[in-house]
Amino acid sequence: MAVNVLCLNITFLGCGKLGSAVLEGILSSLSEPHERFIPPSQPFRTKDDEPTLGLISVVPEKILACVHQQRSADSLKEKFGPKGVTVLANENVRGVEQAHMVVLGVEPSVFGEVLAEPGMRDALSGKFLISVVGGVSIQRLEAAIYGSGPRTEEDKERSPIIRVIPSTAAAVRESFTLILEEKDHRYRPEFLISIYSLFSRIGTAKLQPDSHGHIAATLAASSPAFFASALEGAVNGAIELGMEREEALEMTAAAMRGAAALMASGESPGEVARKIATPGGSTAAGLEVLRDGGLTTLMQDAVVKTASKVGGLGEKK
Amino acid sequence: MAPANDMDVAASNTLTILGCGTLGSAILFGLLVMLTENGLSKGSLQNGIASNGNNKGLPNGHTHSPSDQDFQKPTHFIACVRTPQSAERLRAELSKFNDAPVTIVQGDNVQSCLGEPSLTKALKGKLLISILAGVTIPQIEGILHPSSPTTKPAAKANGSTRSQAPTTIVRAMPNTASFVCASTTVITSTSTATASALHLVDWLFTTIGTVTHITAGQFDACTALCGSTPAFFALFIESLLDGAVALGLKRSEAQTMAAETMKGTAMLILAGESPDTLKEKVATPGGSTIQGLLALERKALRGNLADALIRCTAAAGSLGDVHS
Repeated sequence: MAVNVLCLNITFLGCGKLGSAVLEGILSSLSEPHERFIPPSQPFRTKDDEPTLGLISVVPEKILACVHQQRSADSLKEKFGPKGVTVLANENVRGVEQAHMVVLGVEPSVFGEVLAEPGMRDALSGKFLISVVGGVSIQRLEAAIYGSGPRTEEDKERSPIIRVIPSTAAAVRESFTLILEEKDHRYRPEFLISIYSLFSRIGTAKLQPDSHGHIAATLAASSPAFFASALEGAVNGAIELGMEREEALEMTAAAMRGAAALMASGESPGEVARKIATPGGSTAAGLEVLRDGGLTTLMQDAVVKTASKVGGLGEKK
Repeated sequence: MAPANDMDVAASNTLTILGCGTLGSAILFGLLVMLTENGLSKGSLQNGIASNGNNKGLPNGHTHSPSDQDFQKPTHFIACVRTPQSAERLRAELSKFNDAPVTIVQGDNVQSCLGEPSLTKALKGKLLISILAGVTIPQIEGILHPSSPTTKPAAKANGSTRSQAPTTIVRAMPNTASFVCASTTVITSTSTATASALHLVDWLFTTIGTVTHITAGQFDACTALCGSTPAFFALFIESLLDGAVALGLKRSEAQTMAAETMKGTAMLILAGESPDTLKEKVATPGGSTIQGLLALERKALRGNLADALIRCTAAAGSLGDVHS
């Protein structure tokens, strides 16, 4: 089957920590042949028997990063300038004009003013808008660009907007990225495939029905921090026992990777723990300490608190 | 690597697993997967090490070199188990492989047989890799070479009245992720271990994950870190999943997401990111992540994990008391 290679200019509108991580991952993926980033056509078939879609591979051509502060621009230039990225400060419209795809990564508190900037609506016309802004719905994004009135004739040309949730592991191309399908939005399959192709450059991408979008946001984007905390705890224990920090970090991270690999391959967490912890053994003793410390309710609590906060992001205080 | 009692096998190509329980099986299957994938050929040791990264050099100044093919990689395996049920279980699991070169031997308590004269004799001049938690090399030597109880249990290559060389003992602690070739194995040895023996041990365990050489004093803490923390992280994910399911996600989907995200986190840290910086990058001011993190802090998650690790290490150290 023929592969359609789409060479696209990509502009990062807002390039904070998450944006930088995604940018870094994409840049390092450029050294690999584009055939590696062709998504399967299976998840993207439309309900009406459309003829089989061609395969699409998105190849970033020109990459721009638009930020607000000169300070941010300077540090981005230093980091990504040598790799060919164009960094602009306070030139959002100009940056968007040069793009085919726009990755919106500003803080939730400023998305409104950024999207409502004079000239932005026209600049966005005919482009894909990918939002990685946590907790802000497509509805609110559209309202910021087009106003909240009813759709008019001109609005036929509204840019398709989609929400994507990558994680900070994008920097090492290990992000588990969720592409949120919203029930009121029908995306054209080619659009979805292109997004999928782009984000496969930074790890694994998955289509996620948005009815549980905010919980998915919690798991995919926030849990690295929880895992890092857990890891830190174990490492601190090892340091108290006399181990060097670097060595303890490396071993614990490798152990974490192994555990994750087992569970990603389908083993239930309970099975993994049971296999390791022989009755009366040392692991069982450690697990007892965790359970006595209330780990189970603690984690559930953390997840619930995080998920409930996500819903309220970007609200004007 | 001892052949079973009355079996005549090309000894240098046979790996015997004395006591093939969960961990022994994990190693066996990891090895079988790697060997069947690579067609039972002598893969290059250099490739094995390089592809797993994170490997420190060999102790005692030994180095890897292209001529390391001189040791024999195992092509046949003998798995010793205690009960008929274990033998059945093993047979069932091995049926997944076509013609797995594994012989299952069922016998008495293999741990107590280490001291049996016939086994001790059979182990002469061979390499013994112990994965027993909490049992030190000096302790094993005390069992295998009890003729000089007054000497300090430091390994000596000579001074024995036997005509054959003593057993080379190496201690290793892999973990259950061997099943998916993602084990973190720590190894300790004594100064008498030859370069050839160390190369073989390294090869063995790099086929199922990463390898690090450590000192004997660190062994219990490393057992806990590498062998037990996977269970802690599993419990962590189980609890997280309970929360996700309570909020409406399907358990299997949530598990994939959580496991993949945990893997990504681990890889970031292995790539040099510190946990502090990682948290800083993820927890944006006033955002949702910090809410969850604070919930963990308030209930002292990190202290809890540290305590679990310490308790685990202490327990690992005392496991060996049963055997001495």
